[in-house]
Amino acid sequence: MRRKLIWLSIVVPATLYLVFFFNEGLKAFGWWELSSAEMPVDSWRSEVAKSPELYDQLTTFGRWTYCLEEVETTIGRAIPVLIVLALGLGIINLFSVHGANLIKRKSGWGYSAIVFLSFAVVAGALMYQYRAIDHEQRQVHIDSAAAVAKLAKANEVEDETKRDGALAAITDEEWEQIHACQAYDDAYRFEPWRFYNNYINFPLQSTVMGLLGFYITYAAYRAFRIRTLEATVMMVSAAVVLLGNDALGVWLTHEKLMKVADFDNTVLNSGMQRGLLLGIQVAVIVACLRMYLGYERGIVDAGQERE
Amino acid sequence: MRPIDFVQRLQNIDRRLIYVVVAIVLGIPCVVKFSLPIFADRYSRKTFEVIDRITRDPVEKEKVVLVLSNWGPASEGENGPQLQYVLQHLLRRGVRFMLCSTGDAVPWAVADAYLEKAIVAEKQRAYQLGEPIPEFVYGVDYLKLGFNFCTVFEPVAKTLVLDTRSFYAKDIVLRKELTDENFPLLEHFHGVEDLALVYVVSHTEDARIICGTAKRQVPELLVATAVTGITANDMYPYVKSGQLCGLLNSSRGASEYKSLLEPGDVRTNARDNSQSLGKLLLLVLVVLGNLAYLLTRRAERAGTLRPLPLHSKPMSDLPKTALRMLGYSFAAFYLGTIGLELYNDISSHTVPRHRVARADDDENKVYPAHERMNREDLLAEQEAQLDDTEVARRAQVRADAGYALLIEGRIGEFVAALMTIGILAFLLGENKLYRVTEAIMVGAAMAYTVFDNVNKQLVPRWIQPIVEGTQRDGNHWNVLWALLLIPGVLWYFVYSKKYRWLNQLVVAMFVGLVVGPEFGNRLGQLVPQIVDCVQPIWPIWPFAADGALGWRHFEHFTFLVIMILSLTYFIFFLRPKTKAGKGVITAGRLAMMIGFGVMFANTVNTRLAWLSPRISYLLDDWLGKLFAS
Repeated sequence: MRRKLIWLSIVVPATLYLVFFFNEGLKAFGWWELSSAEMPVDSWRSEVAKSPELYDQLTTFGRWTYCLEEVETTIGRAIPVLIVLALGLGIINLFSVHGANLIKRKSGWGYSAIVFLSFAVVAGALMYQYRAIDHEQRQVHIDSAAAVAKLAKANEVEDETKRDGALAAITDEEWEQIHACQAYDDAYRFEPWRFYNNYINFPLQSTVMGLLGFYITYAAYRAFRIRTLEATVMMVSAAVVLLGNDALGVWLTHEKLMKVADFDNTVLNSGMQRGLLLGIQVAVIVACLRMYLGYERGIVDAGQERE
Repeated sequence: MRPIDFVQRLQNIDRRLIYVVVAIVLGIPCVVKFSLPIFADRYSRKTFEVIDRITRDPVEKEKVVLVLSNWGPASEGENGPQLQYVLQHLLRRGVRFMLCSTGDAVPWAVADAYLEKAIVAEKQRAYQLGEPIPEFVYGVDYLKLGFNFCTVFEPVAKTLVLDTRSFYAKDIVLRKELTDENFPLLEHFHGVEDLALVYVVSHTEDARIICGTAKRQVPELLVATAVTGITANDMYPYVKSGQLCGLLNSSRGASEYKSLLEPGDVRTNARDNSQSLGKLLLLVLVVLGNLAYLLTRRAERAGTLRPLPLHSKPMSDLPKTALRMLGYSFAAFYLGTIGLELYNDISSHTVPRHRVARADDDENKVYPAHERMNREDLLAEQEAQLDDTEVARRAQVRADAGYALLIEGRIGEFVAALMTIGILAFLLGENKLYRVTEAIMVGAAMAYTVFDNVNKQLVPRWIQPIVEGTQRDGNHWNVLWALLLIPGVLWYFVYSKKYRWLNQLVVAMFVGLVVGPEFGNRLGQLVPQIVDCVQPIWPIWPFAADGALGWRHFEHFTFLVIMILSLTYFIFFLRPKTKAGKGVITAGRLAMMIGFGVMFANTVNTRLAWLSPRISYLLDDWLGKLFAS
């Protein structure tokens, strides 16, 4: 019973997307007319959403398609919400692992304390940002949005006389709103969100990945050996692209390698990649089909094995 | 020591020595300034031409560009400039655009930061050229749609492009519904037919999925992408088949795009040079390693090689005393730099910054990279930038804000330098500085991810609609969004032994959400790829000019040969026994190796592009401002 439920959890959403796909095909081939009235080809759905009278003018197939596409959009909006709802798992895991370290005074418990401390500091700073700064900033911009847009539109007018007319149409009250918004934007305020991102988050994350630059250089030095014909071809191809697609390499080789590297990238590499891709695309379709038909038991059985 | 013993040891050199050499070489361009000409490759040129055509065509200009930015700080060295230069291009020519992301809060934060950078860069450019400083109005010239956190992109890619308004529902700045009344920009965008271009900046293959889903339904949709070097390998066939109308490969692609955007500035900067030197170093090291290998092998065969002494083993950890001494030296140096900075700032009442080019700059004169600014300098700068009517009202406030921002930035740079060095310390092996930095990163990242996603995603896009639905004049159907709590709660049954299978249900549902769209997505990608293979190849003439018919046919023929040879390698069920058959298989293997060589080169591009900004940050932003100004 549980296995069937798990399998159904795969099959139901997958089937829904297959129905979307086939319906899209029917629509594209124009097998059935969507509507008896003239509507924009691509944004017809938003037009129908705006006026219910247009819905009545849809054919049966049009109504079916409308509902299906609404469902697809709703699923698209629901997925991010479901993913964010899972973030609590991260907090639980973090607290359980580092909390245990801290309580049992395991080796390196000091680092766990730092984890909690940095969590608390960033959480507090972000709460301050949301409550004190973002809220106020949003309010100022909402209050002045219409006036600022009016000014921007007036400034867009190319004809000078008309532009002056449009500017004159801005009332004193609207000017006040514009000036209030400008004054708010001009003034300095410390924003923890910006500071954390620019000076802590971005440097930390980019440096972690930057370490790979050291590793790849060392790995190439230690392991890239010309032992066979294949290794030689690979190295020559790599050297051509490294030098030919680089300003210093182009300068060193007097621009001779540039076109060869371009050819290597866009023709030779492209041909090989398409060869690989054709195989991969077919393999993915087959793998999906296996999962859909229930031949791939790994996911379905995983929960049962744990029990 | 005999020369051959030295050569043998060269092969077992300590990794830390190589790391030091890499760091020094990458840092050279920050100290020794030079620049080289940039030549744009055909795909960078193509990308620029497509976007430039949109900015010049009055009909296309009335449409909107959708910019999807799905990358994090890790690939900032590549994706950052790719996003910034295209945004500058759009801002400069007055093309409206919407910026969005399907990553979590972090990719959105970097996208937002780079949009601000692009706006500042355009204002500085106008200042430098002596033109009026442009004002870019939110909601009129550009719109920030924010992010919808989708770890699975396949089921949302189509909706994102074909139904953007419904997918994002609200903007991220004002949190207002995406209607024409709220945002004048949206008067120009009602559906996919109003999209002039979808420009995808990503560290993965999101553009490919958009080709397989949205473009499948709207074939005339233009999709261009900018990706990391590693991902670019897979993207080339999609440009050839016309599914993608442009491709920027790595930071190189970004620099080439900039050279086309700024024809007067077609030379490399310090970061480009740093990567170039890194690549050259890598090639030199590979050649050295191979020479050592060949000589050692010859000596081994001749029997003249001695076994390596035990102490020459690489990878041994540094002695604790040495590590401690390094730590103390770094602490002393870091505190010294803080002291020096404080002394400089307080004694002169100035703060350093990167020098801003001015309209009256002498072209023949070389100016220092940094300058020190006080309040009066900043006030004069603001007075020059503002209209006469605005000077009295805004100049002083903006100058004060600018001064405060410089101080904040300088404090931040010291913090960022400490974080950067803390992570780089891992190259020495496990040590306390690294462990502390790692702990800070884990705790802070967790808090940021949870709080920012809840505040910017869950509250406006889920909780608020439900609350509005419960109100008398609200849309009552919105209350149904609360049903998501049921699958949402199922995630947490992973901690229950008895009901763990309930967690499997929601995991399986996500598998289904990927499996279902994959059929269409893969077919949508595959069919144009196959169709593109069928093209005329006659007359074929490899010596024709680049771009001429004969040359194009030659390229396509070569492309087909390589593709077929690559495919033959995978025919495992039929192993040929004749010489000709074996030759084909060998040729197939060699064709694959050519591709793998290119993949390796592009991977090196990526890794060095990620590392060089960190080195230049330390030398240029942190120390450069301290010593050079």
